[in-house]
Amino acid sequence: MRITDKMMFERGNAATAAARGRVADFQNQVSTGLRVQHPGDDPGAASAIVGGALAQSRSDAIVKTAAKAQDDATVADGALQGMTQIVARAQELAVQLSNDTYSPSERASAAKEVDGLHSQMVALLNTSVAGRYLFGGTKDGAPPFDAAGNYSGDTNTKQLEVAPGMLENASLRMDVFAKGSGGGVDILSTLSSLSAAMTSGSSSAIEGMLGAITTGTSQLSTALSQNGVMISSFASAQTLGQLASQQAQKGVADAGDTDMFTAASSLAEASQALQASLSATAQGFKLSLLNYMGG
Amino acid sequence: MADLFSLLTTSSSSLAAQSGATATAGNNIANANTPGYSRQIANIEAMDTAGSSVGVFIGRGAQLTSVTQARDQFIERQLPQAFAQSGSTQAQNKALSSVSALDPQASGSLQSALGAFYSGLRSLSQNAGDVGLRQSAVNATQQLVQSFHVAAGGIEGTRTAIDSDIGATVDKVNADAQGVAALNVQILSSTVNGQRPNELLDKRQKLIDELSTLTGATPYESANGNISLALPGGTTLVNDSHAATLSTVPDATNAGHVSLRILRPDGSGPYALPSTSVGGQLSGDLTARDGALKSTLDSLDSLAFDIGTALNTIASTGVALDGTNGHTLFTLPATSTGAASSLQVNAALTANPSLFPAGQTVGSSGDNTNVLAMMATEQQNLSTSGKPPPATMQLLTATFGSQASQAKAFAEQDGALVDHLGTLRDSASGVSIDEEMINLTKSQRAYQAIAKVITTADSMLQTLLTLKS
Repeated sequence: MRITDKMMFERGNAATAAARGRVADFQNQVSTGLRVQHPGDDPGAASAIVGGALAQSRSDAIVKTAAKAQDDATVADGALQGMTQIVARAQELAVQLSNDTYSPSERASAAKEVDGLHSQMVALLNTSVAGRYLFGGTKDGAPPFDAAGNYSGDTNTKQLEVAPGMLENASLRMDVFAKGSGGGVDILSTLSSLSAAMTSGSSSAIEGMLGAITTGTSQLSTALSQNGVMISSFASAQTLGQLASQQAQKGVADAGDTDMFTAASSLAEASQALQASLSATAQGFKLSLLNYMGG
Repeated sequence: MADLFSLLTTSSSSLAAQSGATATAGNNIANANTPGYSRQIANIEAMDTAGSSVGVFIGRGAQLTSVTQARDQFIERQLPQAFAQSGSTQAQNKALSSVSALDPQASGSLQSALGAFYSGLRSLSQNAGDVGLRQSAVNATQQLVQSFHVAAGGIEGTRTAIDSDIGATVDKVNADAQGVAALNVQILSSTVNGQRPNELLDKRQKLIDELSTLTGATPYESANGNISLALPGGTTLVNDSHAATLSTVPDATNAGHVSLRILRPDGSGPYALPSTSVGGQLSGDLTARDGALKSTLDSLDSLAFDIGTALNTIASTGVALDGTNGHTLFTLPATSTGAASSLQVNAALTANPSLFPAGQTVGSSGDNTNVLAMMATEQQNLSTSGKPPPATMQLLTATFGSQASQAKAFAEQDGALVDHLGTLRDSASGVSIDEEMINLTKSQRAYQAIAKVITTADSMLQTLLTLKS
């Protein structure tokens, strides 16, 4: 092939430009830490980055939501424990005062304690977190129970996402567990009735309340159990969500981040190639007949 | 005597021939780096012999018969197609690689806004009655809308920039086509006895190369040696001494983007010039603008419209904190056309976030059932793509990425072919200074030798003249 001067200069230009381009590419990868910046750099990886970023965002959000839900359920657990103790004390008083040996004044005094238990029960049923009442179903903007024990919450159960597309109950139906809706006993009414029975001084009436109190205890036990399941479920959601988030983050990094060792070694290689290209180009330019023809 | 005088005459024409060869080598050296220059060759031939007084045929020296260009027609014929193809793919690559709206790791990207929107819904689902979380959800909705605007604006901005590029290209095409037509006239009038003006031929060839790159035009030679050019669709761009004129007009059916028109070399028109009738850079610009970029924008519009519609359908069935219903999240256009740019957050929600329709039960502030239904759209197939929003976003990115990657690969491949053919052309037509220095020395030596012949003939004549005295 016939080699012309223009060819040599243009080849020199093209070769050094290509070598410099490669050096710049690797420098950019090393300095930004990113291998894929434009979708055209690696379409499959770009798609994986988008999917991974969305999955990570979803998992992170689930973890946060589950953490708050677990906090709520933990507060609810404390309240339910308190309610169980109240009912246990009521039961203890009922058993104790169903004995005929107690005087009317002693029974009246016990009735006052039961009234106090009623008030405590109402207070616990109106437990709130940051102004949000936990036992009113989804009607959480106002106390669900009044002083008399009437329920003004709704019959809905709040649900939350614990995994993509999977929902878990996040509230308890206290109209069921405390008020006996659907076949149980109304614990608050039971306490009121117990107080009335004690005031009336009828041992048999007091004794007659024991069955309802036992059922109430059982209802609260079920509520505690369901609440425990919720706590456990939200804890698992956080663990799994964190794992999913880490996995998604790793997927994004694997797809789009620079492998520093490879990039650094490629940068060194490209720099060597540039040096060689510059040297070869300069050598080529030195060789000319002009250098050997005397003036 | 007569032979000695003819020897002087012969030497004179030979000196002129060598002088011409020296000048040609000098011109080649001077133009060694001139773009489009083809090296010239001084063609020296022996003059016809003539009978002499001594009865034998003696040569009459040399003469410069022509100065021609060194061109390899085999290579030259392959170049227009290569220029056209490379012009097209380079333009597409330039357009698609300049789009940053879908960069997967950019901060404030569309997918991060989509993720933030659903995260906002998740936070709200935990405490639906919280006005602060409702405000956050509305903010995330605004961020999503803004990201759609930015992404669509970025792509549409590139399409508009291509319009400007097309306008500038059209101006250049018109100037080049006029140049070819004018040079056809000049070259024809300057051609005498088959001797052609090489510099004008080079200038015309350079313009033809540019026109091939810009429009994909193919040259063809007329019987008189003029070069005419035809566009890929067969429309004549240059016909001998007449050139067509391209122009651009806004196309109302294509969002006001420009389309091409042509006033033909015979003065008829202007007629619409479909994108399929041009090649080269113009074709690449139009293909990128109305192909990959338009389809990406359409997909973005569909994504915005489908997500907006799905969420609005759910939102409109929900109730706000004040118990009112019918509040949508977005204000949407009637169809998906332009949805990514025109989508807006419902102004009522922006003004009063408590209107965010989180629940379905009046009076139950903690009711999150509507938020859960909105969250579920993240897993539900959209009507256009048939895939959920994240997968649609992935598909959109991968599809655009494949188009950009393909354009880049083709541009590199076609650029390499042009480089290769250019090298081959340069090998045939380029100037080698070494070669020209040798040619220069060769003609210098010949000139010196011929001068010696003249000196010898002169000396012989002097000898004859002194015989008489």
